[in-house]
Amino acid sequence: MAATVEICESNGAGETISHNLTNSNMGNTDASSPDPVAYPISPGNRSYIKYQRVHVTNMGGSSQVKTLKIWRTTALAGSTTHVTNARTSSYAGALSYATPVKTAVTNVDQAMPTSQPGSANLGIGGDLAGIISAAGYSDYLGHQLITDAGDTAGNTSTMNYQYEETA
Amino acid sequence: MPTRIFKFYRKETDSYEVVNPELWQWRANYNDGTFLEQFDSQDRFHQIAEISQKELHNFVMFNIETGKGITLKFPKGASLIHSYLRGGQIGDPTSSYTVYVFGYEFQAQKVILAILPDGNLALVDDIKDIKLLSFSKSTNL
Repeated sequence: MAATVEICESNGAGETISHNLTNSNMGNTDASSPDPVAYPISPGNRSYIKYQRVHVTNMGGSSQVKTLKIWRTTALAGSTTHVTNARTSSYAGALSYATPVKTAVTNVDQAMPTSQPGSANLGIGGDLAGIISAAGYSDYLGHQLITDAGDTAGNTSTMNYQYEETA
Repeated sequence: MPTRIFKFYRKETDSYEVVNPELWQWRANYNDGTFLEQFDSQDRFHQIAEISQKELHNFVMFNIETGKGITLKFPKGASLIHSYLRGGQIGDPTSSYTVYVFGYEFQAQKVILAILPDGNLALVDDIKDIKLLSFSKSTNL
């Protein structure tokens, strides 16, 4: 592989960055990779919002990383929905980091795609057509689960990413 | 056989970057019989931008494990296309994949070949049509 790319997550008031995520678990706590069993989301409530980014740590000879796509595969159980700021059109610009909360966040209101988007849905520098040409980060991917009062524990699904690299 | 370490000199930072070899690498063959290899015999890595497209005769993608190659005749006046689509599942390094995309644009039309992770080859006219799950015997694009 040329460019070295990882997925990072930011948490806490001071923005602690966790690099190279081992999972994207969501729960009733502001933490990277929480144990969802230890921090279950109360039915009818939201998870703490996730602020994640695609991070190029080394270009490895490549000239550009661009066209970022994020989506989820496998259905969620019950009536749980999954919202995000990622979108392929009318992009609202770069989402600003804030201490994660479990309430609604402005512009984090799009349905998370459940198949690969046809075009970029996460921007770089606030622009879906943006590029990374040196070590750096994408815009924040904000996403959050919204559970229904009748939902029960045990949602499992997979978060996917893809980018185009020119070398 | 000792492992070769390829390096790329980046002018912007006046520094060398180590570049890992790709499974599929390119070789640009010129009209005068000379060529440029992506990973050359001097252990240097070359970017696509270094190819002199006006002198390009054909563009070959070859698999360094099997030695098999795919040759693309390059029309005079065309613009070369080459990139990688990389991705995977967050948190699962074993799911990471690379699609090798190459081709050209000529007279407002694109010819794009994609070498998929399973080794199959797809021919499309838009990079957006390259979706891993689309390419099965029972699926029509």
